[in-house]
Amino acid sequence: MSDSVIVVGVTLAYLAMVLVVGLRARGQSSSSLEGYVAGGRHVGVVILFFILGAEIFSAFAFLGTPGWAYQRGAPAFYILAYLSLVPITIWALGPRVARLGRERGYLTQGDMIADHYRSKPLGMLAGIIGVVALVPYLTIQIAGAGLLFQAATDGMIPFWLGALLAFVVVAAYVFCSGLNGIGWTNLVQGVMMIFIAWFLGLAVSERLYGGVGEMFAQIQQAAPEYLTLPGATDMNWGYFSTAVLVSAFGGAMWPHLFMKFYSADSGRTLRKVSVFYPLYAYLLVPLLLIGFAGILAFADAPLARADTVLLRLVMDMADFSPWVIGLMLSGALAAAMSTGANLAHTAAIVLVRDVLGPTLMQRADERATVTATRWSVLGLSLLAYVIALLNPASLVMILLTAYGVIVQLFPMVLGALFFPSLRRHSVMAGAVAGSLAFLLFDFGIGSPLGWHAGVWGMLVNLAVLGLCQAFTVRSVAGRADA
Amino acid sequence: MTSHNNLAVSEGDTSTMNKTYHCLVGLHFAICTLAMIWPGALIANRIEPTVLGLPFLFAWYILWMLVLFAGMWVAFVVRHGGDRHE
Repeated sequence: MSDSVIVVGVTLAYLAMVLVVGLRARGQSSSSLEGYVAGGRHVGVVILFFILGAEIFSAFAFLGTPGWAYQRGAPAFYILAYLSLVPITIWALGPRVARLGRERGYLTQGDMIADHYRSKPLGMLAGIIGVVALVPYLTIQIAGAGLLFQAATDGMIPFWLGALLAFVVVAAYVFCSGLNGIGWTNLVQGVMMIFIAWFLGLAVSERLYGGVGEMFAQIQQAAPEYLTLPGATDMNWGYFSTAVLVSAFGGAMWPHLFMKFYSADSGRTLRKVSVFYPLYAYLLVPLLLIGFAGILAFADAPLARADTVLLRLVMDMADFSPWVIGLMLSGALAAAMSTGANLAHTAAIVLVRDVLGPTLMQRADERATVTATRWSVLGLSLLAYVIALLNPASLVMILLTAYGVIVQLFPMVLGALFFPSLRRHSVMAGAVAGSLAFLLFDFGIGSPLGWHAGVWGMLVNLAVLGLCQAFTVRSVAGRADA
Repeated sequence: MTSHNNLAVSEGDTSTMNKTYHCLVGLHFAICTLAMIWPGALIANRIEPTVLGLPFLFAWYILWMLVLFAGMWVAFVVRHGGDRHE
């Protein structure tokens, strides 16, 4: 019992520190919409690095990465591959997005799309897709925080209270400080996560096996299939490769990543951030080690849920002190909260600007918009919290679906950036056809060749786009001749 | 640091240099991507020899993460480093 008190105490102290840092960041620029949303477009390289980095290391990465390594083995390297490839998109698109944002005052993906294609409904469509995709993502962070608290304190803090605690803190500092609050807290949380992850990864393999090399030697003896592809669950090369591609290149279409491009003070800053981005994938290496450590540790009594491998190892097998467990909980909460903060912030802006802006709030002034955005942060967090209480189980499914759909925005965005001749009907038809094809392959007939269904959706998207484009160009040319 | 320069395209030599630069960066990205999926990772799909205690495939990914970083760093310094392009 007193152990649980120490765990809770350490964690609450950490939450309080994050709250203080987040509220103190409330600075000069948060009164204007641009200041609240894009940090006044003057966020420097260090803060931007942590903003971009901390949000991809979600509760899912902190718990799911060891889970994958434990359950499947080598296919978990998929996570290393796709994370280190994400900066390619930032490098290629980022500077141009940032420049357009500065010149024309864009704040969201929908702004750019609506302006470029001169179509408000198209911008609204992008906004709606964004919000619908972001809410389940936020729900997963909230549910993750609740589960962490519950497990690490042996139920002393129940699920509903743990989830509530973490997200009251997040909603409070995002509400008050906007992007500046996120920048400074992510700096703290990023450092926390790196420290905890490396410490646990090395300490667990040391305590259970006497070192990393010794651990892999033992796995090679007992279960070598875990150490090479296709791994223990027989994931084929086609799925592995296409999943890496969809996640690495489609991932940049998530509004919370895309919109951070606007907040860079120059294209140079964005390029600099993207250079260091692959290094972030090194944070996941110790988490993979923890997952591999679980393979033999739980060989006799496999875990019902692979995602709990980190918690079970640290709490039951490695015999750490409650102080360390408290720190682990703080690190994992840092992952959930830093992602959650970005998601809540982004979803609120997209909702107000892209969806409400052209409809209910057409004549709102800037002050009213900032106020609406702040209250949307609270409203959406609350919505996600309620969904988490109702049904946390099926969310991964919803998220995967949202992922496949949001990837279909890619041609539309590329068109706005690099291919001015693409017409709005073509990109719209492509996006709709691609989304439907993705849903059909994913839930209906099964994906051909066992590839990731997102790839097939994208191919259909491009094919329809190309056909429409060829058809319109010909009919325009025909009309010009006549 | 209010630079818009990096996207500006000037005439003659600069434009050819630009092209070479973008091709090289693109090539680097393509090689790194293919090394991490089929078919690149296929040649590294084994346990022996271990590198610093890690199975070969694990070490392969760690190596390519570093290669990707190093190449991008060089590309950044060439294009954006120093005062010339500020």
